Amino acid sequence: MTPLLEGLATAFSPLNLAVILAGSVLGVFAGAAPGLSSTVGLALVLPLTFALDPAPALLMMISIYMAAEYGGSITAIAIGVPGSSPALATTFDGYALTRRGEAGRAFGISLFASMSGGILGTLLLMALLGPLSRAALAFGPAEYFGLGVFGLAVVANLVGRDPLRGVVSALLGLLFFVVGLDVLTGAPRLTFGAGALLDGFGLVPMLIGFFAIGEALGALAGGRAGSSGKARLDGALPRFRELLRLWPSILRGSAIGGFIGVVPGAGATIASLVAWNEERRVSKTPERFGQGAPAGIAAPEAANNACVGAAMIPLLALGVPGSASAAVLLGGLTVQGVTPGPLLLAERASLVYALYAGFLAAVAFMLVVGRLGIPLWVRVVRLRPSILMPLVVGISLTGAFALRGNLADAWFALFFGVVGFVMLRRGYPLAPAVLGLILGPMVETNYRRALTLSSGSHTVFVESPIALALIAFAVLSFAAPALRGRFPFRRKATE
Amino acid sequence: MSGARRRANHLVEAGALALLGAVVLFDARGYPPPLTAGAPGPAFFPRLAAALLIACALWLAVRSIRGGAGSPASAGPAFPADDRARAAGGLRDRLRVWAAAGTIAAFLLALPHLGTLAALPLLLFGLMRLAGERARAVLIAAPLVFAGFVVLLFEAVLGVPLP
Repeated sequence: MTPLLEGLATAFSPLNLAVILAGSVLGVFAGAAPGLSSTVGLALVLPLTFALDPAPALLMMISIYMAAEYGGSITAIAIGVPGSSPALATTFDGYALTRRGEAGRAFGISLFASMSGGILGTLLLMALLGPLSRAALAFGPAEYFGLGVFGLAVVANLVGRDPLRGVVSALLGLLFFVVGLDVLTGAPRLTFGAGALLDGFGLVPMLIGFFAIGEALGALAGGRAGSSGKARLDGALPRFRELLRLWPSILRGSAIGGFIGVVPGAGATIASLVAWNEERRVSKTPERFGQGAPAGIAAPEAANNACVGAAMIPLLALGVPGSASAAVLLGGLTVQGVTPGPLLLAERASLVYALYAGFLAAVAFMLVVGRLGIPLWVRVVRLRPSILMPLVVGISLTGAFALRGNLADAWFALFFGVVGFVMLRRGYPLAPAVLGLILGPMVETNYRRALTLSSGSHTVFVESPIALALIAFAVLSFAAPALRGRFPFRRKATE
Repeated sequence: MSGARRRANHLVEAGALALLGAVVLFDARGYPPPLTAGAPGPAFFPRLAAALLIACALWLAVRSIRGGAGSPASAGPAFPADDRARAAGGLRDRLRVWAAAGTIAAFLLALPHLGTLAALPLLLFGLMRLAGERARAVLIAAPLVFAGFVVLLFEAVLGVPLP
């Protein structure tokens, strides 16, 4: 039997299909529960896979990874709280559709886009395992710095009508990341002698605080809640014709997810934010983004699921995880005695083919689990806000604690909840702060590393074509909103 | 809100941001030097961010004194999802918010002593009351059922020990 057939037979055996189904259910739940994520879900099942053979163990893990990326959109759409950070961008338009009483439509678009992104990401994995991972290998500190600056440039398009407040929000995010031990010297920064601050705030407590607790506090302040029980909540799925119309958005989102996913360290959160922003940028009706534009759901959901397959490219070819979830998967591979690297395809070809097939099966099961679950998600939305919001706070605080078994994380979540609430009341957007916390480490660490390697010479950022191109794109992205304002004829045309 | 009061609020806001920047600059004085001569050390990035924050705070203050655009009221939703918490609330609503934050803080303080199964229903009960829930059956049953579900999920299914 050829390795290809052997791999297919392995992936589609009844036992492994059952394992993939179980992984899909667990993954959807891990993604949907605020505080959990694909990474947490994978980490939680890692000990369970010790007893399994390599194929079922890895198939379970990849199905959790894939389904969790979709699962994050469920709470993002239902209650405006991203179940996991890659679903952050989905809240903008998904939650807006829910508030318009079109939750079912939003869930359907998200599921279709996630499925499409998952398939395209897997195809990318199959096609570009070798060449793209070689390109990612060329990334050094200067290139990573350029990538981080490029990511921060997205802020320029996320600041809304008051750029100054958007910039302040991003700066606050950058300062939040500084809290803790400096990665390069080990010096404590902004800890003020508190031991609990040495590990820093972390992204998950910040997300839980901003989007779950801050949301609940905002609901109490305005007599408004995450969803209105009185609103018309339509469980109807989108029409097939509408899904077909979204194909260009899905393809663009998948391409962005594929590109960013393959670069180690960038991750699905950045991919989905960039995809949402690019979709708004190319749209003829950018003003509809944030108000329930279907493309604003399709592009980021396609991007974060495309990231799953793409993140496996450097992992399998080089042993370099492309994301935190891929890092846990690397742990699973190691436990099973599978050494990722250039020889993997030659030595364990049937296992690699089984993983390819497993990814496609995981997408199919994600579709089934997601589709069957839509009535349940719509029912969740119908809960009275006075019941729903306390439950969100309860599970979010528990999730914040469960991440590291550390009560300090739950306190951080409360801190960020209050900070987020105050920021929103004063007109400061939250997303730039989140982006600052995510990209801060990449920008600072690689800037310092690059200058250390070049003995303080800034030419290192110009000598690398990749870094130079990324920084140039960042400058263009920063300048674009201002330039658009300079050309009234163009503005008239788009209007 | 009157124009003078809004301006005063903006000046307080700008002052708070500038103070935060100053605290960061003060703290950064004690960071060690860079490992390599010519390369930036651990103080570089916080100093840069703090200096920019102070500059933004000054800009906010100047803009507020001039009475220019950009106040929260005129800025509109700065980010698609951010108009959610912008609804204006009265004094009672603001008090309710701080009562909710206090309830969560009390829950976190009590958690290690009472355990999740006892503390979580109390938190949920308190928040539901603050959110305006009045149905007694819901106020009693929902917290208990949900706390049981959370403990079962995290401890039995996911194997995560809770306090």
